[in-house]
Amino acid sequence: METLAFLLTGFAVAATPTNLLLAAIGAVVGTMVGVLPGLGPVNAVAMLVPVVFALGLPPESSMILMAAIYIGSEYGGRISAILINVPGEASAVMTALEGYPLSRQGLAGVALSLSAVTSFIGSMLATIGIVLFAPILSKWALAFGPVEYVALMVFAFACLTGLLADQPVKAMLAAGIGLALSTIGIDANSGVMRYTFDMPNLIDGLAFSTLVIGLFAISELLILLQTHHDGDSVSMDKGERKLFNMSELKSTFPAALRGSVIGFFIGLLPGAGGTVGSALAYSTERKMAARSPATNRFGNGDLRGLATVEAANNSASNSNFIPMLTLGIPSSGTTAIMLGVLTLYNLTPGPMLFTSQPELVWGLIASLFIGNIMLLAMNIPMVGLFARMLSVPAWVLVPFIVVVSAVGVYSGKSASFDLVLMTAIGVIAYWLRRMSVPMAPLILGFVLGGILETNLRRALSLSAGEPQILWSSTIAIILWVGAVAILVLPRVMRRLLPAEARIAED
Amino acid sequence: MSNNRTLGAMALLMAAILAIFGWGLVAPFAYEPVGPRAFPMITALVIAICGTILLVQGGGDAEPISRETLTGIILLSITLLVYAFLFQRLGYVPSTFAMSAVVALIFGAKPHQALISGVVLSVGSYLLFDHGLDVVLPTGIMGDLL
Repeated sequence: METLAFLLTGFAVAATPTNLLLAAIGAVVGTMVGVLPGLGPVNAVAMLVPVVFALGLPPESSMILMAAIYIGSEYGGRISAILINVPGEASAVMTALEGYPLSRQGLAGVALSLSAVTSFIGSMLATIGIVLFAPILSKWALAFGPVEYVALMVFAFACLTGLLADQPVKAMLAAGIGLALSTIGIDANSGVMRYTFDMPNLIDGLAFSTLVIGLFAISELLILLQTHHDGDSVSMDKGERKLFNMSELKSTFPAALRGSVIGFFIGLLPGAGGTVGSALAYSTERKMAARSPATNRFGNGDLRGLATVEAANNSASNSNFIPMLTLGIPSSGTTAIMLGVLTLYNLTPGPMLFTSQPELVWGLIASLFIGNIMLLAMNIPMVGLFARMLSVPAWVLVPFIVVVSAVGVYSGKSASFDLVLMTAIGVIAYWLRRMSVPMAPLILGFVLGGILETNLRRALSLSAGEPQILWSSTIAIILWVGAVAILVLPRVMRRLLPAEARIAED
Repeated sequence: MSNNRTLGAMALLMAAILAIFGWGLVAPFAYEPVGPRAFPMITALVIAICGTILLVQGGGDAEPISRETLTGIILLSITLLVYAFLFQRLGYVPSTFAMSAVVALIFGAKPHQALISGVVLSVGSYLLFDHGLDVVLPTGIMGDLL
């Protein structure tokens, strides 16, 4: 009952005209960046970090805008996967497997509309899951002290390096770099300057917006140089039928439900998002279909495969918000940036958010319901319009991204120094990405670094420097064991997943 | 040298820099058992361990990039750096015009397309950000005009 009352307050927040408008803008922008291969929610959200401050948006509005982009991109990613066999988004890799054959058979319209509906089903179920589980988890996590926090963060890093990345060592390296970068600036406890190299611009630390824009916008442009192809002329022939029929929906509905459940639980794990969720859902469904060969069309455009994948990746990106909101542990690059934005508003991510910022948390949850309805409403009739994004040539897009990035970074402190830093970070990040170092652990390290260090020092102050305190509670021990297990288990899990899933996710 | 070896060597270099410049980070008056030095040292250790593993393991050769792409990457990086330096000195509109046109050319625009892109983007975004969204942008050499 209490939850229901909070949810209603959330809807009151999310339904104000400004927030409704922001959710709609986010949904459109999210679908657009989702359609474009190369650009994803993480890039769009990174570029928006300084913009939300320049606009003076309150924290809940910023979160609503960014969340809408995040979930919108999952809807967008499927469009390019189905139409041109290029996943617009890492998590849409599996969508192309069944979606593209369907579109080759003249069923693009059916595939697009059906996948929009199953995306919606996955998202909605996951959002209901957030409402049910998040408050319970946050109450439980309130008992966390500094000791449990240290263990929890180590656990999160273990998840991220173990589950997300193909090469755990590189993921760990990325997390280490992020942690190191977070120490730049004045140390709040002692007043000592760390790694500022006498540069006044670094006293407050490395600006979050400069770092994320360098990492995710500038480096992306350098990657685009390699991958861009000038304005694809997409054949927008959606086939004769623009919409699926009832029997198609009925036959795929169970698959969508299974996908939603799988996606939901995978999305709870830090580090495993839509890519892993949809891969697992896909292989489950394919195995089930193999039992009745008469109806099995997997590989040649099976609607069930498409339905389950889309339900799973949307479900996973929505359930990602549970660890982010309740524990302060983001599970993807995008949610890591959102958490970083919260800290810029002087809010401490973690279980306290539910009690100290109910409007923000519940407003965000309510906006997920609203955003998903908007996305469904947009994605069926306007799919052709979004697909046209694919024909925008790179020479229009890239200068635009540079301008938005530069203005955003400059607006923070009006210093050219930050622009130079942004470019340097972008070039270094490009090199790291070419060495297949994933960026998500890096940003997670940067966002969590300060909190991890504070809790570590607090815990050790309690014990007067004895490190045994770090594994002195049951919860802490479970988390340490879990962290070790997760570093070992993926070697086993990886054999269960199809090869397509082994892609680092943004 | 394989890619992983290069990465490992760079990681070790970074760990060394962190350790050398972090060793002196001691608070003049310590109120707590763990000072400002411990955490940077732990991160340096993590980075050094990863670097060593990569250096020993080797392998991981990425597909080579074409000469054309490499030229593009160098050109784009230099353009962005020059843009960063000229942003305040030259002012927003002229520097953005030049950057947009050059970047459009790098990404395969024809000269007239690059010109249009530069004009539309520099003037349009100035009006949007400076007048519309109250982000104060440097006027530079066009100070009296704007």
